Amino acid sequence: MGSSLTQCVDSGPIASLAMRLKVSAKTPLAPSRVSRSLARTFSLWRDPNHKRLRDAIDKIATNSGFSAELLSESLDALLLPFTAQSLESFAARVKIAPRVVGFVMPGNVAGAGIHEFAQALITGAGVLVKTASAEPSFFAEFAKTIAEVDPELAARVATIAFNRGQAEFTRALQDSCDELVVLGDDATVEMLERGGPVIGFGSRVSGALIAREALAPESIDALSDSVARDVTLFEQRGCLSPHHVFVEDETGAEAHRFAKHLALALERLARKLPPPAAIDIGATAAIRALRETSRWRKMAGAPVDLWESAGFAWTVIYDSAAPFKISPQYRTIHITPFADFADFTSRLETVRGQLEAFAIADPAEHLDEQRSWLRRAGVSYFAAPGMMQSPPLEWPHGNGAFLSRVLRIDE
Amino acid sequence: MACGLRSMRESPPMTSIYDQVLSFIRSPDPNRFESVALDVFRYQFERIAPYRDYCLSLGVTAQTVESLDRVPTVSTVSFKYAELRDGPAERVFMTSGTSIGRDERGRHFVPRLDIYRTSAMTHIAPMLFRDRRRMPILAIHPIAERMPESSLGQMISWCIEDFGTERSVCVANPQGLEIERALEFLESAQRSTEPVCILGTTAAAGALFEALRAEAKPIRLPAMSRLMDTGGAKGQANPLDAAEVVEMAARWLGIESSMVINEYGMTEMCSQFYDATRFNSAHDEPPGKRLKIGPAWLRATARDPVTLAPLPSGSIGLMSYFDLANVGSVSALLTEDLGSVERDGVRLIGRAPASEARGCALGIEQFRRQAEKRSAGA
Repeated sequence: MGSSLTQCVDSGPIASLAMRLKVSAKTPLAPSRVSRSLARTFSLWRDPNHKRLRDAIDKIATNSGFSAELLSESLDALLLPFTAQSLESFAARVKIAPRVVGFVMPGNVAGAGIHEFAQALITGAGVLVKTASAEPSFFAEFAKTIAEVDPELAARVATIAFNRGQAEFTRALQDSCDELVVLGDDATVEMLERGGPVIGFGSRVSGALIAREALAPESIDALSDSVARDVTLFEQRGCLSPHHVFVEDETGAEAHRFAKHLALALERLARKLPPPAAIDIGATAAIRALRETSRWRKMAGAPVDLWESAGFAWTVIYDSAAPFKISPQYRTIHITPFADFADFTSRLETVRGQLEAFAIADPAEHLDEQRSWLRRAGVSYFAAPGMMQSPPLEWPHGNGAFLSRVLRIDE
Repeated sequence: MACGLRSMRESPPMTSIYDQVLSFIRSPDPNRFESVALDVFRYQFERIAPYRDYCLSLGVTAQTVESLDRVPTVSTVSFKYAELRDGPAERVFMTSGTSIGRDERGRHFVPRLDIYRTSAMTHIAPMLFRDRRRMPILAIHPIAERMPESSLGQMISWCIEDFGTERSVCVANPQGLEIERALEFLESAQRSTEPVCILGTTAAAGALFEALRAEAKPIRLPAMSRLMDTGGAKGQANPLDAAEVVEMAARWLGIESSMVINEYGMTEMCSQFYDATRFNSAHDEPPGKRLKIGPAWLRATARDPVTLAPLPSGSIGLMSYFDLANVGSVSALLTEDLGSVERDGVRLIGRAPASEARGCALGIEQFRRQAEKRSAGA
């Protein structure tokens, strides 16, 4: 029925599940039919009282330590773009391609991979989802709702769980699927690539770019709240979470002012979306090291400032000299002013090719040069601040690797 | 009377605090550690302005601290940004630079080298030269005269003076290892019955193993020969873990496992820890899981990374140290290393990973590796 998680104890179930999906996919459902069923499913999952969603949130909260409030808000942001209209529009443009698509899902962000999952189903594929041991719940619960909405569609979905160290299971997954999509860190993608061709979504980071006009007194609080939301959702652990905010500002005074506002906004949001009760020791140590470095640099007279919550709820670091900094996550963000285009690009050179998304606040629309550079540097999604976790259904994730190579969109 | 005592403690005689520490190192008394440490803290609070400012920013003064657990620890990164010094330094040691970003190096100002030397040599003696014999020493890290800013180089120079023979040789300079000279030393040692000692970084030991492997020339050093490596993965192209160092030392040098002793130290600290093996202790654990033993004038504490509260024995936390031998800078240090404290020593599990390298977000370590790859290719 494809509505529950199969915990594999040997590799046999993988091949038989794949075979079942293959048989189902031979009589494909019309894309419009799939899109309607998915629209109904997504609509249920945007209802905060939907039982399957609540069950998923409870399980994910238990596994990850994230607060239920944070998860609820984060998942709602992720699912926001899956409207009946967007699904229908996509369905109208694809060709049916009956096959079995395997997915290896990541453990850091619940629901990551949902775009590719929905796209594959709409094209008539059967999908075999290998969930992460750190996050086995989202797709298992989502599949249950699909089964309740459309059992025939649910027959084209199976979720499985096994430890990624079990090489024979991974081999069975690769051998059984026509395509394998892998979302994870670069090491996971590289490991699976050794077993055959995969469509890999490896490690990526995101940022934000703010034009000076966006910092007008009447708009700075709203902007700060929006950036705080982007930083906070999913505890900053996904590829769409910003790590560093660059502010157009020659002197640094405006960027510093924004950093202060952002700290206040993060504090406000932490009351609404509580941080985890405990975070892993490595991340805590890394955040502490970052705070200590900033504190001592500031004491030494460097153009650095630090705002920090009591405990480790959030951290804002203003650093006028910093190149793009990778955050230790958990609502830790750097703010840096940039004087001009050359200054901006020089600060991002180290992450060129590893960027996924950028939030841009540019009311006067004069940062086109920066936007073009970011696109060339690999950015696949530009968002308004506050919308970074809501990329559209046809987001060319990872520079469109899945869209262009697998879906064969009828352009 | 009580007031009078407190007043004396608040302002220890300025001229004697160094001698008080030196006397403790020469004749440690665990029962006196805390009182000497508090005297050292109060002295440092008074004399070292950036440390005093830091303490005051936390609402701590010399008067409000009544136990060692309450002494504010400074992050070792502070040595990069502040001059934590008590007057003029006899020597300044510098941390190694980073491969990306601004080249910010920590500076440890040491006003009295004799205290550093006494601390380092008094503890290395039972840990590495327990048999108290002099032997030829092969330095695979530049000695002090070649690299005066290196605290390891200084320690090696002292070892050569205190434990070496006239056949001791340094085969390293700041540019790298002189492999030919190292091999000459080892081949000559192989023909002798006199044990030798090799001192240097893990990276240099790795380079030596690689050279022997390339020449397919395994050496069989005399029994009781030994290797002390330090620094772990730092600076290594293909990092060797502790077990690999032991295995390579056996394969390429014929050094027995218990004679391969890893040192854990840092430029910012004048005292060091060494692997406990059956050569120097009653412990006999596999490399990588070995307890590390520090001297009696160095107290280790594992702390909760959020609250910095001391953790009970065996619990993993951020490692902090109070090193009396750091009397001329700051003694209460907070590192970025994770580990636990046990009755006889500490067990380290390494540097805190910057973030979990899973999912489609980029972990800092992964980013750093990629950035390093890029700079290497540039």
